[in-house]
Amino acid sequence: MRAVSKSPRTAAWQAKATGALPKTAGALVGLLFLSPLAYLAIEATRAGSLSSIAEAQAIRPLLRSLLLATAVATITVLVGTALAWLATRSDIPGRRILAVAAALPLAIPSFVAAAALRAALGVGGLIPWLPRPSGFWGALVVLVVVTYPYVYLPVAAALVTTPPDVEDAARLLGDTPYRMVRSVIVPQIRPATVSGALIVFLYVLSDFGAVSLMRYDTLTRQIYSSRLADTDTALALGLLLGGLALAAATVERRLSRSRAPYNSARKPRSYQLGRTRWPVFAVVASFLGTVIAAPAVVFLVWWLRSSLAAGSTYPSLAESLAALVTPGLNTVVAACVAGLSAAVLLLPAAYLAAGRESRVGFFASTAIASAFAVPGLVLALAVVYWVVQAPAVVASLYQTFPLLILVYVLHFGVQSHRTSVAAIAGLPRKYREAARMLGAGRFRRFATVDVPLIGPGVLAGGGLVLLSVAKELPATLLLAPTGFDTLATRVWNAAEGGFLGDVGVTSLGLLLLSGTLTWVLVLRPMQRNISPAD
Amino acid sequence: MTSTLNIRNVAKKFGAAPILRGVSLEVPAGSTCALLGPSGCGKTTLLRMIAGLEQPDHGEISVGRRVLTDRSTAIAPEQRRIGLVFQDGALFPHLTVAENVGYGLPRSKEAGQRTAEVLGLVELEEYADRYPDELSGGQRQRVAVARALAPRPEVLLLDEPFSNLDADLRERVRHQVMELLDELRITTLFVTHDQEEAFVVGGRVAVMRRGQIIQQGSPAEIYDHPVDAWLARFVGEANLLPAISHDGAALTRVGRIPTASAVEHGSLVMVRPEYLQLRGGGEGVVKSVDFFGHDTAYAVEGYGETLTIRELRAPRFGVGDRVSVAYAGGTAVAFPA
Repeated sequence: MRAVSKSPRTAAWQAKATGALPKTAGALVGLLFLSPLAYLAIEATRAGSLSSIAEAQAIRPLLRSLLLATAVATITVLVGTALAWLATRSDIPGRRILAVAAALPLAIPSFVAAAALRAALGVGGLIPWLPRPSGFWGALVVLVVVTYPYVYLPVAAALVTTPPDVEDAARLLGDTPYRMVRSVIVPQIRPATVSGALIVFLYVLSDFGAVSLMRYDTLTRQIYSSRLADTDTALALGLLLGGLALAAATVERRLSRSRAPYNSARKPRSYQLGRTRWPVFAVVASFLGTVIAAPAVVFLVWWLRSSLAAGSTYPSLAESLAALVTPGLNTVVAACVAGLSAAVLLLPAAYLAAGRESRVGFFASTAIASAFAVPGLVLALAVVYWVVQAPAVVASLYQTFPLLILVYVLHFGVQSHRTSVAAIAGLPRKYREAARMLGAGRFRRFATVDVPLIGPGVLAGGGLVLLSVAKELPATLLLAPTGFDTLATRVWNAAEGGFLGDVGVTSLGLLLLSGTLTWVLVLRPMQRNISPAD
Repeated sequence: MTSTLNIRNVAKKFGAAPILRGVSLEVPAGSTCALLGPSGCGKTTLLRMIAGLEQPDHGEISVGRRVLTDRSTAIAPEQRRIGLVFQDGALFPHLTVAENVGYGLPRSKEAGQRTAEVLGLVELEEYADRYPDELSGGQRQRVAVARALAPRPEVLLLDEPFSNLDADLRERVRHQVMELLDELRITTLFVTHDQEEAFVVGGRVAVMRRGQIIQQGSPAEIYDHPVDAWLARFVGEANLLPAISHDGAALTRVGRIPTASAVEHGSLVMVRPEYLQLRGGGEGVVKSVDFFGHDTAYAVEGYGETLTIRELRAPRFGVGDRVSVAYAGGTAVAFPA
């Protein structure tokens, strides 16, 4: 035991008091993040609906989900790693532009890409002689395109930080280039590849927009369609999907543990492509060109086509642009409020988690991460059932703006949490100690040292939440107040109804918004950190 | 106002490992003491305890009549009125030089005046509006000293404040800062692992090893009368010669050496290299010659242990020359076997 203090204004007393506040807050945050899934589990068990999981009707969608997720994860590993290597280690022409362009599909929501692909091909489409894609293959193409950046970004970062000395040493010790890649490069990027692949796996499991528009019956689609007609089945399937996602997330935590790369003063080694340089460039450029430009072109064509058609009942250009203003503002407001709420609400938990030996901090971090692994649809479903059955005060929250924000924060909180933890842990202890030695008390230290030095990192984390919310669809569909349209729900409703002109203009608006956000929040910081070698 | 810093019997364990084992030290008001020790000896832990950033398991720390730490008291660091200069300065990167220096001052009209005054002391008035990343390493450490001095602390602690600077710059900045602290007559504890630095800054030097203070005294006392062979070597070059007692002096292979302490059979006599001299011809062989400009160091074999001899002149002998080594006067100490 430490010395017992006489006066209340002593260090020991302060340490105790400082500890209690974030600990309580951290524990509450952890419980909050666990509550939806816990509720789902309790309800599903009580209703005895777990038995319906075993019934054949759950098996097929489950297998489809697993098949699609595995296939997409496998292909994204190949595409993402290849692009990352080309962008950081090769002499491909225009490498700097490639490095940024390859990450841009991060801005495309899956349902927007699916709508674009369906609008582009098939009868009446831009390329009428190709069949309109649907089912497994349609979903596969769309999901690969929108998820490979989750592999590309971490692998590119890992390739840039790999010290070249190790590669040189391997070559000098007599490794052939092939063996060197296998024995030196692959082990160094494996943690990044594995964690990227599992994020893709989770993304596909929880994806609702692409599989719905492609009419591929995965678990997620089943849950959505059975949510009203058959509550028990929806609960049971939701629990199954949530369990699956949590299992995948647990595996990711174990596999992606890596040794910290040590910093090397030297730039990473660059390899000559030789004669294949221009052919490789042509392939990569046309791939990225198609992926990035095609959706925009498709939407533009459909929009112009429907609004310029003679005798069209469609609204004019000006009218359809004006119709974007309200959902656009709704999207921005919801995203900003959610981003800021996540950053502020999770700050105490982030402080706890940044301290090395806090069990409460570990509990809160795990709870926050698990809520991200649970698909947004399942999370929303759990919150809906929970709120509706709660006392009237809580039940009145159903389909209100605050509840929508709460679900956003629950679902995407981890993005803000991780960034905040890194920012807090990255603040050297000496600054707070220096402030203490100069007589600054707890609140002054927080205001004059923590806020200015950690603030930018915390806000950047909130920005990631903001971007995710702008692209979010299923939870918004389920929980948005009546009449509260976001760009995402507008695109989905128009695509469901077959109004391709509306799909076109709204998607363009959404792409513009998320593209800008991705640029500001993800790509610009990334460029600073992983600008390719010269 | 400046007061005496008093540390009595401070002890601390991290887990089962003792870091400090009953350290007592007094730094009289207005004086400077260098706390010297190898890395890991506990000197930084002791410093952080005086600052209040760590709590000892036992012992008492007081400044003047104010008890800061004892069995029932633990004054918070922000209420101790102790200044601390960190190894790398720890200047707030988001504040200007003036804002850094003024950070510890209560908001008032005099704050700006005091800031300018202290910046003047370290001769950095014209840098008031710069940010820390726009300063050189030496300037940053001077700002750190100014920041610690601004609130007029009763005691100033410096934690290896110049160790990140280049050798040449380190000497200049150290000279300037120590001269200033001398003028201000502020009670100062200066932690360092560099023996030369400890001797230059400290009117008194306390040497720490494995969580204990093994010797305190003036630099000259510690250099000429170290308490054991380890310390003799830690604070300088030392030749350790086996000796027997003879007529109240030590008889060694280089001759009779009068020692300050009694010699027993099997004692080792410590002689600094500059207290030995060479003559041509004899039982020794020169193994190496290092010329430093102002002096020359020889390594000579043939006297049991290899001996080091320093002469304030250019090399007179070459490698392989036969020489004899003799005692040239100066203090020698005997350590019991």
